[in-house]
Amino acid sequence: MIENVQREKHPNSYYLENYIPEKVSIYSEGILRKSDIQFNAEKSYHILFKIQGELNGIIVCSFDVSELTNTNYNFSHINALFSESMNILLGNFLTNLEEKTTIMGHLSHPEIISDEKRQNIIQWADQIVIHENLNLQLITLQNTYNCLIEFIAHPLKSTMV
Amino acid sequence: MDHENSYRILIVDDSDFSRNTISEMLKSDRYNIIGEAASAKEAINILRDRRANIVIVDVVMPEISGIELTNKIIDNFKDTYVIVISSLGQENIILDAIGAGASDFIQKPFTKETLINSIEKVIASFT
Repeated sequence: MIENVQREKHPNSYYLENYIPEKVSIYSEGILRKSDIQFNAEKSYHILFKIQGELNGIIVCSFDVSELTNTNYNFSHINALFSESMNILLGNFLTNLEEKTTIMGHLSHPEIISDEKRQNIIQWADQIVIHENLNLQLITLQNTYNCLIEFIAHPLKSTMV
Repeated sequence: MDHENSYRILIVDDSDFSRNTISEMLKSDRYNIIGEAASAKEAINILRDRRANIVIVDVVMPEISGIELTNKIIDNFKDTYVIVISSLGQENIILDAIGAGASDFIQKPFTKETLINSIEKVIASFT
């Protein structure tokens, strides 16, 4: 019954809302937490993870890097931080999902993708059984980055709707 | 303790951020980071040149996984112990790591204290 209430409250992000932790500490570098701010970036950076197992699909993670364009930030450090923070978050997501539903999914290593490739993936997403998204914020000592997770998957296990 | 008497550690993770974080956590006279590798192949090459007491291995890496690498290390490098790390904490991954011969498993993100406790537990097992 609790699951039904959650599904009505977050019709667009049932699995992400329920199995992604409210916040995750990224070592001493930052915190990744759920957010109500809608992702709307002029310039963004995308990372793709594949999921395989009883759940087949992909997760595209986007970061708003509009404010970084004219600054002296170390891009390679920021990119490495984005990749690892999402790796940690999604690893925790799949671990929670398996503990609570017994549905098992494995995560690939991250792949940086272009805006064009992301658009192409999202065009196909509505034809896939599970298509959810969730807004997040990555808060570091220097900055706060708005982020978006898009979860596109097909369940191989019948208990997953 | 000088470097000759410190414990020799290799860090294997395809994430630059993770390697740097672990390396920072282990900055101490007690541990000597003998190298960092972004893949299993790089790790094997380093181990052929330099002996390690402990190898810290991430599970998800391109081409050869951390579980396969753990198997290779245990089979080919005597007196080298493996600590497996991963953002995935699923039971089957932990079991795969143990089955491959890992001495310990830590889920990411971990604290410096957790990492050092794990390393010290492994050191205690071979000293």
